[in-house]
Amino acid sequence: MSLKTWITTLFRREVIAPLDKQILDAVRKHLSPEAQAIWDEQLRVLRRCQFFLGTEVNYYPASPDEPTIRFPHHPGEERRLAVVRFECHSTVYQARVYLVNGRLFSIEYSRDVRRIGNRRDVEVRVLSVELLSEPMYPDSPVSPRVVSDPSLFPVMGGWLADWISQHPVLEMAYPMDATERERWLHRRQLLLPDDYHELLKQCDGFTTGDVDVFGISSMYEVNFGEAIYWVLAGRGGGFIVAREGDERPRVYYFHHEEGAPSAEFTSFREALQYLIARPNLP
Amino acid sequence: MRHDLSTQRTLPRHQQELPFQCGWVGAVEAHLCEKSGFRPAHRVGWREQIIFYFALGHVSLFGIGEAAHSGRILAHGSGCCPHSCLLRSPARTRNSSGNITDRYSYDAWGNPIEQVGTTFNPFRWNAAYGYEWTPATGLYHVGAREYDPRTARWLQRDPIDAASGDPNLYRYCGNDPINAKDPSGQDWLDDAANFFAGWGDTLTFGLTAKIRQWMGVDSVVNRCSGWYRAGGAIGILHTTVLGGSLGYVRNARLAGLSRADPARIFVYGRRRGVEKVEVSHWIPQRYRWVPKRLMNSPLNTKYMWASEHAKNDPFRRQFLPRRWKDAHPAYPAWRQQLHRVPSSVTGGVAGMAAGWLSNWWNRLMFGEERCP
Repeated sequence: MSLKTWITTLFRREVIAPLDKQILDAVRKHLSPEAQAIWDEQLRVLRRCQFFLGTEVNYYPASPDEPTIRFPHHPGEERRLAVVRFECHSTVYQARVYLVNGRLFSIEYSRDVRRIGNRRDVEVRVLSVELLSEPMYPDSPVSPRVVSDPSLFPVMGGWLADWISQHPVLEMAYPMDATERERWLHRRQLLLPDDYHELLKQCDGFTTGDVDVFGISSMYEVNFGEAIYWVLAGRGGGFIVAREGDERPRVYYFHHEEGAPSAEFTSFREALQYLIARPNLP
Repeated sequence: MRHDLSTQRTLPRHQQELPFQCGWVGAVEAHLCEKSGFRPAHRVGWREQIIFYFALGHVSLFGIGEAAHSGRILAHGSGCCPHSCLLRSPARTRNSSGNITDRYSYDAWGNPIEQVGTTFNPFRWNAAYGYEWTPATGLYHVGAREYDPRTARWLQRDPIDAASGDPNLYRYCGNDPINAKDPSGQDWLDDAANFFAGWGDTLTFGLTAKIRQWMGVDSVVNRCSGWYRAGGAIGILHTTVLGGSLGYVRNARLAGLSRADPARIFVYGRRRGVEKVEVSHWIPQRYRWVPKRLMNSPLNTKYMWASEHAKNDPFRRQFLPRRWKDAHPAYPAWRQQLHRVPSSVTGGVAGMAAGWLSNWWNRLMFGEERCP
C-alpha cells in the first residue's frame, strides 16, 4: 500500500451516510445482476457527497474525469430510477433516486432528514421500492432539431405567433412527433394548459435571450418536499412550473427564493407574461 | 494650540499633551473645566499644578500644595464642581476664610451696575466664557477680540473670518451665545482645523500629518482634542461609505450581461447556451418581514453569473437540471456565505477596516496614546 493510499484511507470519511446507504441498498436489491455490478462499482468510486437543504444529496467521484462505469444511457440523460418509501420514528418519508449520464447522482427526500441522516443507529423500515426504469437500457433518444436562423424557424400560429412577434427568438427547436410527445407527457403525469400543448405542437421550446421556454426534450424536474415540479420556462431566478399529479391543467410561477409557488395560472401565455413582468430579475 | 498664559509662550509638546494630568480638582474635573472654557493660568513644572480661573458664583483660583500659595491666588474657594462651572458671572468674591469681600452686578450687556469692595478681579461678567474685564478701557478682552459693553459691539472682526459661517463678522458665535461659546475668539477655527486634520489623517493613513510636519504647521493640530477624534470617526465613516460605493459600482457593472455558455449545458442542453447575470438576494425574498426597499437595495443584492449563483445558493441550485449539477459541484458552505454577501457590504467592511487601521497607525505614529 502506497503512502498516499494509506493516508487517504486513514482520513477518509464515509461518503455515504447510514440512511442513504440503507436507501441505496433497498434499490440495489431490485436491480438486475448486471446492473448491480455497475451499481457497486459506482458506489465504490464515490469520493464526495454534498447535502442541500436537508433533503438533497449529490454524489461525485473524486474527479469529474475519473473513469466511472456507467449505465448505457444517452449523454446528458437524467432519469428518476426509483422511489423508496420508508418509515423512521413513525414518520413516512419518500426518497427519489436519480441517475445522470448513466451514473448514480442524487437522492432527494420528501422531508428534511438532517436529524436522522448521519445517525449510525438509525432504524429504517422500507415500506416499498418502486423501480421506474431498467437502468441497463437507454431511454429513447430525444434530440430535436434546433435552429437559430429565423428563416428556418417552424411556422407559428395562434398566440405563439403574436408572442414571438413581440419577443425576438434567438433559437427554436422543431416539434417532436405527436406519438412521441404523448408518450412523454403520459409518462410524466402532467396536465398542462391547452396553450402549452399548442406550443408543443408548433415547436419544442425556444429562447429569446431573456426567457427560455422548454419543450418536452428540455424540461426537467425539481423536487420540493412531496411535490415534483417540471420546469417549463425560466427567466433569471423565476420559473414557470407544472406540478406532477395535478388534477387540473395549470402552471405556477415559482421564484427560487420563495420556497413555494407564488402564483397559479390556467394559461401558459398568462404565466409567461407574468414571468416577464416580474421585477428583481435581470 | 495651548499657551501658557502667564508667560505667553507655547508650552513644550509633552506639556501640551498632559496639561490636566494632575490637579487638585482631579484630572477629569480639570479636563471638564477646561472644556467648559476655563483656561490654565499658571503651570508650575510638569504634571504638577494648574491654576484655573474659575467663575462659579464666586471667583476662585485653584492650585495644589505649594503652588496654591505661591501662585497668583486671588482667593480660595471650595472645590470646583464642573457641572456648575458652566458660566455664570461672579456676583461676589470670598476671601480665604470664606467671607464675602466683594459684590458685583451687571446689566444684560455686561455694563457694571454696582460694585462693592476693592479686590482686583478681572473675571466678572461672563468670566466663565473667557471674558476679562479691563477697567482702564471699560472693555472685555475675549481671546482675540475686544467687546464693548456700552455699545454691545465687538471692536474687531471675527479673526477666523468667513470660516465661522456667519457673514456678519462682528457677531459672536453666530449670534447664539446661549448655545455656543468662544473663549479664545477663534475656537471655531481651532476646532475646524482639528476636525479636518483628524478626517484627513484617517483618509490618508497619516500622509497629511506628515505633510503638516514637513510644512511646520503640525503644532496647530491638537490630536488629543475631541474634534480631532470626531474627524477621525468621520474619516472611518467616509472610508466605509467609499468602500461600499466602490464595491457596489464594481459589482453593478455585471448587471444585464450575458455570455455564451461554452459547455452548452447550462441552459438545459440547448445548442446555444446563454448564461446570464442574475440578482442574488442576501436575505431571500421568502422573509416577508424585510421591507421591499431594503430587500432590493444594494445592501441586500449582488449581481452574479447564473452559474456562480447556483454554486452559492442551494435554493437556486435546486432549479437547475441535474446534468448541470453533475458537472458543477456547489462551493463549500462557508464559501457560499462569503460569496453571497453583497459587494456594497464587503466593500464597506473593507473600507471600515482600512479606516480603523489608518486611525490605529496614526495613533502609533503620532503618539495620540499619550493624551490624558
